[in-house]
Amino acid sequence: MRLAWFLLAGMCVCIPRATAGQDRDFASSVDAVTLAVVQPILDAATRDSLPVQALRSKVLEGLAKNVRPAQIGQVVAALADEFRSARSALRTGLPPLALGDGEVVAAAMAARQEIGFDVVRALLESRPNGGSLEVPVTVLSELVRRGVPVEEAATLMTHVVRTAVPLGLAAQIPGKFDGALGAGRPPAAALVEALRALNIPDPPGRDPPGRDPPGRRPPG
Amino acid sequence: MTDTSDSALVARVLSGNRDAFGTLVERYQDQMLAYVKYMGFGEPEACDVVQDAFVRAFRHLGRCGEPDRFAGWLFKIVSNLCRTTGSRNSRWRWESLDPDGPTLVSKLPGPDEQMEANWTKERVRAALDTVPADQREALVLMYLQGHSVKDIEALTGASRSAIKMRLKRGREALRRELEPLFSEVHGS
Amino acid sequence: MKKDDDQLDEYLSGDIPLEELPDGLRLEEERLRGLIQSLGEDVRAPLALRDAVMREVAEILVPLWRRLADWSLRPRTIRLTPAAGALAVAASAAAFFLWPGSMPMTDPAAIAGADQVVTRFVFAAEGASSVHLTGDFVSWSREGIELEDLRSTGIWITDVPLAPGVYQYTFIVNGTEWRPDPRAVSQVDDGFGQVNSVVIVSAESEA
Repeated sequence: MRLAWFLLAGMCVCIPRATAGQDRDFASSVDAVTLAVVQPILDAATRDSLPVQALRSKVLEGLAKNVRPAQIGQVVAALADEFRSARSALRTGLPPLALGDGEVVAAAMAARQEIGFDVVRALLESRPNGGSLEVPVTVLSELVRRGVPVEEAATLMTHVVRTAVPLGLAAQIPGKFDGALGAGRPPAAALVEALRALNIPDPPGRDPPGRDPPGRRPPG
Repeated sequence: MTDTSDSALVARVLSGNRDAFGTLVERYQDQMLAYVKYMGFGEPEACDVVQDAFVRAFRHLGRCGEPDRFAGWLFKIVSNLCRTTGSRNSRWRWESLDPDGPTLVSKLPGPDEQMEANWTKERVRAALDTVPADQREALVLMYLQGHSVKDIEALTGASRSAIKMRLKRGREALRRELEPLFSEVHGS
Repeated sequence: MKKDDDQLDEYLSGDIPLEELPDGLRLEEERLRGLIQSLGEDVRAPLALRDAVMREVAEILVPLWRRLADWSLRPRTIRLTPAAGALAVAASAAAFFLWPGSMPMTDPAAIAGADQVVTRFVFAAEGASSVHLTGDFVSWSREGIELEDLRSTGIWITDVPLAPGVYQYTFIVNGTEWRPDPRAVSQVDDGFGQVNSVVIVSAESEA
């Protein structure tokens, strides 16, 4: 706990300095018209402790892609709203500073896959101590996007986090899943095959493929 | 006479003589610091990047396949650090080496030659800062550090044609930014 | 104008000296050189820098021979974009074994930071004259990171050290075509009517 407060103090010193530098650099990279459109959005995001760097990145992306300032503004505003919803939902019940920018972004992306914030919050609460869960939340999204039911994907990723499976292995699950699907396996079997290929044990209580259709759990 | 070439020093370090690494640091720290600053890092951050680079070079010195090209190998470490540090964290703006020197906006060059020289440098620095990083890197390596296109190919891994394109575009960009200075008459 | 451009090209390549440039171009080059080089004299590393490096170096207690032995025994992973095909693997292997002169002087894994993972990006674009990688890790610079087609196999490759996290990126082919990575773990709507590719970077030992 003492270490956490020490780190908090350090962050309070370092973040403003880093932010000032980022402000100067960002402003010099953006034309005046676009800056006028996006600055109020970024200012509000800063006040609301949203992942501002991700929003700045979206502005720079729009400029690189020759998008008009008004459209950049719309996209960034919409993204900020997604972040706002995610952060607000996830901070309910969590201790302060338990939420990193990467996790907020990942949670917002998960919401696009219709993964409820309660599912993401449960995953965050399952982490042993510290460490960003940006990668597990992203892997969760990817599995759901590929047709794995939310509950099954969440159970798996909670198991991965709780048992400290190396995230480097967890990050490979979607790719292995794709490979198994491409070889003609049905989704449930493809997930099992992906876990086997990575030597990740099945979550406890998980039924082997064929006994129950994906998404349906036996009672009790 | 003791051989103080880069390859000799690297060999000594690898055989356990850490002081020999200090000589390598002294030999290249100015050049590397200059490069990092020209790439847009302010003074304290630039020192951090260079320090980090040297420490990594020490840790991995056994992987320097051609010790007589230590400088080029070190440069790659520095360049990678600039790229990843700058992309992930704040990319610091150039800060004047002379904190009391004139700014671009607020002061006009006075009759004092030193002040005028400082003002010109500030304009050149600011102009360089507006040039995209890859073009800036090519300009710095050629004009400030005296490397040929062939050297820059080896240092950066970019193709010859890409480097020449960056140099040309960088020159054009600087020329536009510094147009007034091209029409002034200065003593050589 | 065209002739000037050719001569500038030759000058930059080192094929002709400054004196052989046409007068206007020579004067411009001299002026530009003088202006840029005026920055060169001021940079001196502070005295404390060397001391700081040597203090850190002194704290590296493990004998270097042991560190070299440890390093050589420890497996290194260069991560391919997920689901990279056999073609990319074969092309990389061919380049490694058949064209040793094309390999970098040292393994990028050796110079990535301890908290960074060297991440390989591969894009198949036969006939392309250039392929660049851009994304949020380079602030969406249009120049981005240049890929190399090692021996004109149409397989373009670059290795980038990245801190663990999730990144969006895309490729720019021939300077103008923005193309997502078909091998990426995911594609996401960029909000501007296009898609970005996603890469998940994670250290092996991270838990």
